[in-house]
Amino acid sequence: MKEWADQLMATYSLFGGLPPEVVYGMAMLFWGVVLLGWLAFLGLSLVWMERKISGRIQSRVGPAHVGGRFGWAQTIADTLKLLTKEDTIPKDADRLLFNLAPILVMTATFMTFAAIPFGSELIAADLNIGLFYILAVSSLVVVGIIMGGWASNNKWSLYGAMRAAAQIVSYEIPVALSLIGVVMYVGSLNLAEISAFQEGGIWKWNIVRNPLLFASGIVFFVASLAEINRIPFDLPEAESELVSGYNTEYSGMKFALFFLAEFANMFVAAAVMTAAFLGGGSGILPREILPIPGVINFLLKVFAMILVMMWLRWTLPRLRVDQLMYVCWKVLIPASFVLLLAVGAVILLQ
Amino acid sequence: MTQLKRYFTNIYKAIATTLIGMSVTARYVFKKPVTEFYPYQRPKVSPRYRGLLHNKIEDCIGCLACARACPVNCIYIDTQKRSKEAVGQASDGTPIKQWVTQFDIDMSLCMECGLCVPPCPTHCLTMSHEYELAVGERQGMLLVFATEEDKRSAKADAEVLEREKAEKAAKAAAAKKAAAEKKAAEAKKAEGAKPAEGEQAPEPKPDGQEGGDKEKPSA
Repeated sequence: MKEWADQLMATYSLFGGLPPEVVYGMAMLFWGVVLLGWLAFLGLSLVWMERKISGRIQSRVGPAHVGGRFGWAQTIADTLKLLTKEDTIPKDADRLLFNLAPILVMTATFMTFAAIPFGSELIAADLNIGLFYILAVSSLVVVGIIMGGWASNNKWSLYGAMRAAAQIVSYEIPVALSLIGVVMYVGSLNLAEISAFQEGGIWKWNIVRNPLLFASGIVFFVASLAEINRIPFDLPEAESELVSGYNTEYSGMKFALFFLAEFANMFVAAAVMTAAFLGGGSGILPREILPIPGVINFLLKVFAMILVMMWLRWTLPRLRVDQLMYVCWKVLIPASFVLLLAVGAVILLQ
Repeated sequence: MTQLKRYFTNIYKAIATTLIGMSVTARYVFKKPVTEFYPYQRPKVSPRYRGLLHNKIEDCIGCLACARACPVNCIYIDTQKRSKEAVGQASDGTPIKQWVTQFDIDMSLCMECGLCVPPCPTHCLTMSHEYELAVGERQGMLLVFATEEDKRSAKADAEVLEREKAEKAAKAAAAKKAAAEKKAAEAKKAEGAKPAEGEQAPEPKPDGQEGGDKEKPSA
């Protein structure tokens, strides 16, 4: 982004005349607005997609009326409803924390978007520790969730928040360990570089070129499912047990923020999966043969991953709390450690 | 060793069963949805569907068979005898000897069991295919079948019937008188022994024995 701003200043005298700080600020604002628009679009389209898929899996049709064909305007209508809804705060809630929680969750989620490489060239902030940044910032979500659960002053909310804390903190470990294998193999934490490393056809993708990374890819996928609280790991929200978990007391726009953050998190998890394991912006065939822009390749893969997540959601039942912990501590963490060692051994031998 | 084996079979089973489940749900995605777009797409009703009751009142002979069959007593019928000239005919030829001045079915009580339909001798009470039973107000739950016209003609016919009855009574009285006179004449002619027996004998006979016998002990 800095390079982009520098280039703008060098090319156009209009920007060149301004102090560089102002131009940088404008560039930041521009990318921020673009990404926020993308986030809103994602929220609307993913919710619609989820409803359609769940409908078809259950032999229904899903939304079908609003907006004419396919009910494409259903989520827009829902958003308008949420925007105009009364904002209720429980009498005994901690008002400050209650209001702060959805904003924190949303901010933490939105911050990760800065480092997501859309393809290998389109990236808002080309950080040399992009992967680390995404892992670190996305963990902030749990603070917001606990805040919301605690401030609601409600048993269900608090239970949901406690579960979320236990779950997200536990599953951070296999997520990070499985990604370290990739980082060791590629030799970089920069997501753009990791994407560029896999450029040139499906046989260059990390998940294909190394069977060990294929296994870490699966570990990462399962662990990230748990980290974004998707079924079968949706214990923090478990409708049938906890009403709605940490967002029980939220309504209107604050609830919408939680909801949006959830779907945005899904996109982030799928994007990291794509960038680290599925070749980022690399197409199935090398670019010389099939010149498709990296952004399109990347988004196709991300949406395919999201599709798999939704598919899993409408297939599997929810795990028990003890099973959740078993999967993390007794299966995923040992597996990711073994894979890490194996990847290290392979690199040493090469 | 067995524990280790169990650990790995567990993992294998988790992955395998997940894949099986996913294949099942994936198959459903490509199946045709069963959704029916109700207000736009009307459901297909089977021929023997038991919907809203309907009475073809022109054929109703007011026999009360349906009201007697009804397990919740939600059919209210009131009838009035027709005069001889006013006796109608149902479409299957059954003579209609009653004016049906009231034929109401309370759909808020009706459970659509269909027990009232088979007893109907003229097949005028049927269950229609109407399945939208909701109404805006409670009065709408009461299905009224008796026509105003029938009620009016029943009222008009009541006078006719009354007259008919009076005529009949007069006739009967005249006949009796005639009979009595005849008998008296005969008796006079015979100057016989038993004048009282001849007068008393015909009267108790039409009442029958039962009515006379049963009423006496209770009284």
